[in-house]
Amino acid sequence: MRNLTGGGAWLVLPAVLLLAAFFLWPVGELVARSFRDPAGAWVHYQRIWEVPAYLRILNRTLVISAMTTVICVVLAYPLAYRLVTASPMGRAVILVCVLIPFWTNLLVRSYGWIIMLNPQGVINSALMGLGLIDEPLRLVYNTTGVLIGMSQIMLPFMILPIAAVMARLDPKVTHAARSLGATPVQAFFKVYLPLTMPGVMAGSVLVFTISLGFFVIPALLGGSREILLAQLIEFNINQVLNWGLAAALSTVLLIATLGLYWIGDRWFGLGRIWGLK
Amino acid sequence: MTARAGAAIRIERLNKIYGDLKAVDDVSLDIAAGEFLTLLGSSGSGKTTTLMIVAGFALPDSGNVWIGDRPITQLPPERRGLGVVFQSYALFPHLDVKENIAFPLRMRRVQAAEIERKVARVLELVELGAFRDRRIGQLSGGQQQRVALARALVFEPPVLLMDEPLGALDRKLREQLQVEIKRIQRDLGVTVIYVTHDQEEALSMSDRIAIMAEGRILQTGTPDEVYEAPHSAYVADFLGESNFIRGQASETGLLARTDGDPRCMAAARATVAAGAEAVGIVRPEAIRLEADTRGLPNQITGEIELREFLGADLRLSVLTPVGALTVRTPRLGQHAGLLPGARVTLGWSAEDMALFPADKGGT
Ligand SMILES: Nc1ncnc2c1ncn2[C@@H]1O[C@H](COP(=O)(O)OP(=O)(O)OP(=O)(O)O)[C@@H](O)[C@H]1O
Ligand SMILES: [Mg+2]
Repeated sequence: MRNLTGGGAWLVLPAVLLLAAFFLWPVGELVARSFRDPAGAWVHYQRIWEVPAYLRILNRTLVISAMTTVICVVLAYPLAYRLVTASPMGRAVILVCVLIPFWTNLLVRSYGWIIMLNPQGVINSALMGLGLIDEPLRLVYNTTGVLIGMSQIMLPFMILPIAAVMARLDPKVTHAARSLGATPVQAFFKVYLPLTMPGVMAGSVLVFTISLGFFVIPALLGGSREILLAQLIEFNINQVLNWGLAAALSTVLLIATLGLYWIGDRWFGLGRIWGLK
Repeated sequence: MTARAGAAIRIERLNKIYGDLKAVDDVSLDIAAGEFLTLLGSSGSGKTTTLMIVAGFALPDSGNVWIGDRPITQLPPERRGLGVVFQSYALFPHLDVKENIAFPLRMRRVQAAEIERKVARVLELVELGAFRDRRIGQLSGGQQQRVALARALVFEPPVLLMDEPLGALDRKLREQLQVEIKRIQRDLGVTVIYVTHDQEEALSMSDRIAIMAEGRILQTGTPDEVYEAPHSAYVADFLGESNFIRGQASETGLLARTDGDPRCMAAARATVAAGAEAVGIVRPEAIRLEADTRGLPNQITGEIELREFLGADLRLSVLTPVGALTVRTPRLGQHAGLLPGARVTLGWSAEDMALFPADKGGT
């Protein structure tokens, strides 16, 4: 193999060139632009720091991403467990159910959620029809809508790393715990959960970092007054044409993402879970 | 670890069916307190399933298990109080050595000082004192095996169940740990059910061996008994090497089949009616050569095909009218001329040939 490819370096060359031309260079340009204001290199960053609205948006973005992450962990953990313990047939069914939304266009999915969640939508009609509620629940154009939409999209990113760790775990360790006197609940909390925690952490870092930069879902399913960071960036580029500030906001987002990924890789072996190491 | 008596185990008519496969078929065993019993059998013979039923990880379709006079068949594993050592060790990689060993004590809410003391004592027992704070990933296979053993012993269970605990180790380490496990078992007086498919391991460690095939126990006995007096051709074949001589049972032994007329042979132990198809079994080391055959009732000449050097012994494959026979003989002595192509006379006594019905497996 080695001889066949002559060391193999040229195999990755097209990808590297593509990445350099269409990703690294524009991103570098963006970061540079955030410091290029005639009024001084740090003016945009100073503004972000001083204007309460910006900090509020930043804060809201962090909170929504964190909530999405928590919801995904709660939903994904039992699903991942079913996935790895199911028969091959059951596994295929679960995987398809998890991944089908993944293969559907993001806009289509978002409008689908609007149809489901709006005050006259399927869910509210059903609940009212059953007499469980008198007034429609406010499920969309607010934080609830954003959380529902984001959690659904992010779920596979949480399930797959958790399932990968669970599948690699020797099932005998829980047997060993039981034989040593642990009840099923103790065996879960003392052995199974700690040993699958790296998967939870890897999935969390992934979901959290991707959520930080999400635009489409909050734009379509969120309220117009509760915007997130990506919407703020879009607003500055398309509406007020303040590219410098948009670049500074993007840089903040970029650094947060890289920082989190570094932590995830360093402490929770993110790279190992993706099979990179 | 105080020397305390193990408990007796009674296994009564266990059955376990997976689909249409009888994984465990009417297995009964009485194991005395402090006894070392080995379940020996080839792959898929139901050893692990039997052990897992005793440990509580599989429910039998029928049958019962008692520890002492306590019926445990319906108890969950954590309430059986048995030590279990798995082939894969199943250590907890997120805990260090001492916390792995302390685990069963923590589950039993033992006081911290007492835990410290017991862990130190058992670490000494398995000679791992220096590794107390190591992570599991930093241990060799043999060391991991000792941690698994220590963890299963630290809460002083009356019974220790081991499923091929040495299967993953190399030969030398295995022999060393066999001796060590035996010593610890004797010192503690714990009752052991040990599973292996390695016959040498079974013969050297066990007080008694139960030989399993297709979910059944074929024979139970001391290592000497099962080796010297196998109840069936299968057991004779499974334990050690055997020569199989086919023919028909007669009043006094076997009419061995040849290319020409059958040869009359004398066999002492027969479980076959005269006239039935039978197989005579002779151990390679029971066959004498040349001058040593004088006076023996069974004699046959043949040509040496193969000569293997086994250190202290020679192994010869000799082509005779009743088929190829394997002979194992001490290398020292008068056997200088035993080379391929040479003709030799072989002989064995009637006591050294056992007769079994031919349909019961064999070669
Ligand atoms: N959970 C299960 N489901 C279906 N069949 C099983 C199950 N566990 C064991 N079996 C079958 O039962 C039979 C006995 O298996 P068991 O594991 O007890 O054999 P063993 O003697 O321990 O073999 P080995 O030496 O290979 O470990 C095998 O044919 C096996 O395929
Ligand atoms: Mg087994």
